[in-house]
Amino acid sequence: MIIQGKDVSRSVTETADVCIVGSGAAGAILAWEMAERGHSVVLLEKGGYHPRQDFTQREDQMIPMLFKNCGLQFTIPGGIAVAQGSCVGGSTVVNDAVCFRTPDTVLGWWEDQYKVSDISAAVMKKHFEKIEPRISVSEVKPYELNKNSRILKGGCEKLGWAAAPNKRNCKQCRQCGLCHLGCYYGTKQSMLETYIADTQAVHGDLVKIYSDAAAGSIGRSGSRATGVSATVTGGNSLSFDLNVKAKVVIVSCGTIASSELLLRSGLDVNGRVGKRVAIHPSPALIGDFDEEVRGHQGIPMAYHCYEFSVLKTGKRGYMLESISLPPYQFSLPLPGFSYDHKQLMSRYEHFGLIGSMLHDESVGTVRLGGPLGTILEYDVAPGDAPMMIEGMKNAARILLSEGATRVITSHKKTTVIYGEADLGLIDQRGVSPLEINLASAHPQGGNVMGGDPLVSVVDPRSKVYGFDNLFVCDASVFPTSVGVNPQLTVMALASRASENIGEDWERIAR
Amino acid sequence: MIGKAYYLMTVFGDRILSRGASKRALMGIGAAVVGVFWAYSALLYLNVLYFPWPLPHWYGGTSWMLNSGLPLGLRRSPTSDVVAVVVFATYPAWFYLGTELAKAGHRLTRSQRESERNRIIGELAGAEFPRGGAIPPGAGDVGTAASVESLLGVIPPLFDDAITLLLFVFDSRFFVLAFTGKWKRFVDLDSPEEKNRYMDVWESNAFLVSIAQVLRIAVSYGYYTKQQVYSVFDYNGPMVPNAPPWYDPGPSQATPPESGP
Repeated sequence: MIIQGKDVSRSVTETADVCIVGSGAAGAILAWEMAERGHSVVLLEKGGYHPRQDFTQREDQMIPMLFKNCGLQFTIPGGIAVAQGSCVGGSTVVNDAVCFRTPDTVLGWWEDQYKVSDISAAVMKKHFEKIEPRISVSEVKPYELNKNSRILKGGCEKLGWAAAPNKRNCKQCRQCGLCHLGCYYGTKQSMLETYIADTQAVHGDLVKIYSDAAAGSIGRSGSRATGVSATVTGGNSLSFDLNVKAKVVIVSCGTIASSELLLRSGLDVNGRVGKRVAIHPSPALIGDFDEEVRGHQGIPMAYHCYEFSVLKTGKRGYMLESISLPPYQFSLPLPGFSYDHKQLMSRYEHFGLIGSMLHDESVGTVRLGGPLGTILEYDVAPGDAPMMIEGMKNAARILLSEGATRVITSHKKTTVIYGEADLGLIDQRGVSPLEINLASAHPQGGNVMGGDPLVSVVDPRSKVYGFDNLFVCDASVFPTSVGVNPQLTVMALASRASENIGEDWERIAR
Repeated sequence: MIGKAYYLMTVFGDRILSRGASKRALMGIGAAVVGVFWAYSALLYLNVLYFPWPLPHWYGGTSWMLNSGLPLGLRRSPTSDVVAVVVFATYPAWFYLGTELAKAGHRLTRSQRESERNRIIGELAGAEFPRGGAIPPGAGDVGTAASVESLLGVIPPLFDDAITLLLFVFDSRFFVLAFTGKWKRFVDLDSPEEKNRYMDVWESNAFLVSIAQVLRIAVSYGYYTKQQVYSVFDYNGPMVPNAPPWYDPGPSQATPPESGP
């Protein structure tokens, strides 16, 4: 049952076995899994509930409706835009449906360096195999590659770099190119279309989903979480208290918000909450071609080059991914303003775009404060800057090899590369967020998982240190950034956490 | 005055400190303020307390309450006791009226503030996206400022306040003087070129670029999401409820796609 803010006209108290905060990649799966075990669940989602019929494909309507803070969420200093979904289904509703399993190397780091037990590639494989069919993960077919993705493919073939089509959670994709604005056709198998829909259909009696319900704090009694206090906002902007008493509380509202909730609740037991945040900062490289590319027509993210990523090298690097965006979002990385910016945007149909996603060091911090309630401090680590520069150069090489007449970087000062000789400009400009427009859609960390309670927030079973029945499960528990699009890792960790909670239920839910 | 101070305190408490302090608690604070005034006035009138005026001298409480430091020569009497009780009884009314006056003033200020904000957004958008060039419509032609205002209307209130503050900082004479040598607000700069030069300084300044970034994103939202703008470079815009014309179902799909949900 989904209860929207507009359906609530008085303060409410709910009692359930489990209260889950957040309905995205982790929360939706946890709700299903808990209900499968016969537990009653109250799921709180700060964003609204919007069935796909509401997805109008208009940027001016969908961005305020589906993105956290209307898409206006930035790091300081430098203002890197960090995109996160805020609606029932979370970021899975607005992402590009790209699915990568967690690289074995990264799982090895988590196991060896961060003492996360029971997270080997073999263990995680079981969870991936459970989830992938449910969300229809399959590889993009050759005929589904649009011109923008074919540019990346062709460039990698010429340069001899390892590359492959993406796997996506989509079936019979209509190739409209507007994954970022919610999938009107329902072909993207987001949480909204899969686990949330299935939970309503099969376990409607056990699971109550409150949308427009912002969790305020987690109640505590000694080492036990007692429930969650939330505020439900209705259509007329009236707000009502919603108090959920639960035997088990699971925080799954995503990196930034999960740390915010723990901090606001005074549950930063060891001073580690909000620390070690990574964001996969991504500069854009824009190739200008004589012929039309029409990158927005077709699957936005369908191909990737992994020559320099952890998938091939076994160490942190960067992934080059084809990507396209509708006009407003596309305009943001372009430099200049006034007539210059218009001149560039007028070439929209001729532009090919490659994003260079950095497998970054976790140097960010989430703090309480600021006009949005939290501040995300992040700067590109000195050790990461050379990798980002190299990634930009190699993305430019791909575009030039495929016939781009010029490549425009996302530096704030207009930087144009016409050939190999100009690549030194990228070194000159540097990659400080003060110098370059960077974007992020993958914030990770902040409540990191690990075997050492002095440096971790949650233990290897996702339980918050110092508590018997409080769990965190979302990208905020990643001990390091994963170096690939993270949604499948989040889902697998949710499946793993649900198994752990199920095994320990008698002890933790007393 | 106290009523106004109280009102501003509740606004401050509500918006900055607690973001939703309970009305009951605020009423309690208001009642406590009135109670303190009653107690202090009564103790003065009964001459239990002295009033520190003119400093460094102390004035007798009763005399102060009756004469307010002026040479009126009034003394306490049964009649003055009755008048005092009546005056004390009106304290809550004065408090209420002061609060209402403050509310009215606040509304006026807010309205003026929004009008100024709208002007700054309009000028900023106009400078960022002037009429003409490769994309002919200007920001003013497509209602950019109104779109930005609507966006600010749905973001969290404190963020709205912060962006408003940033806009006023951006527009301030002090920054314009520092960066252009002219004692003018941004909105009053003479030409688009002058405005562009000023914006360029913001974009190039390590400390101000983040602010410029937020403002730029906001006006870009109000411009590039407009059909009159994106149709110039052949972006198709929404296709719902139909599937896109370029949809390729692949070699194994003989039947056309359904038209949406």
